[in-house]
Amino acid sequence: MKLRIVVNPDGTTTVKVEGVQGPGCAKHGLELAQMLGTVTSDLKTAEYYQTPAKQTAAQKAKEVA
Amino acid sequence: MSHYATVQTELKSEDALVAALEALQTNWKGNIQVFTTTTMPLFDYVGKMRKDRANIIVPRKFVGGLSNDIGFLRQVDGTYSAIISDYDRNSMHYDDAWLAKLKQQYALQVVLKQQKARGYTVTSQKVREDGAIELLVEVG
Repeated sequence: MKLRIVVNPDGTTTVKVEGVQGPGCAKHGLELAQMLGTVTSDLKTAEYYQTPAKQTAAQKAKEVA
Repeated sequence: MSHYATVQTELKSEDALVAALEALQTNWKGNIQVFTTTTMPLFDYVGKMRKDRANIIVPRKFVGGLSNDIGFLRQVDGTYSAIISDYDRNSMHYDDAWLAKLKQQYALQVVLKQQKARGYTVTSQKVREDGAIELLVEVG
């Protein structure tokens, strides 16, 4: 998982979580954002609501067994 | 991308604020006075005590020849507010643009301190054409 952080010259910062599906990944980004100041917008993309790929594979393996 | 947050930066961490001040003004390194549990008075350009008090103080001799002390006072909500005289705002350029640069440097220091504390890895850091600093941080 990656965090892309853009510290703007106007005193705002954006934190984007990249590379992982599901809500678990948002935790790191939100924690960091809250340390920086007041979160003024918190958007969740479609990827946030997707089931992580690893979990799906594990579930399929269980079903086959 | 699963998540996208925008933050209005607030000066909340004493360590990050001091590090940001030292990064912006290299001659302030090692010369900033920090009073974590109390406040101390600020002094004007002739050495007269002012009514203002602060937790973090940059002595006037490091600010400029005719400058006053610059201070940062911790508020009830834990954020620091800057105390800068009109002279230093208008003639020494410690104005809103400087405070915006300080916030930018502060945010950078918070991220760098967190990546150390949490074992994150900064894989890239660059200054964009618009003056923004972009960091890519590997987690886990």
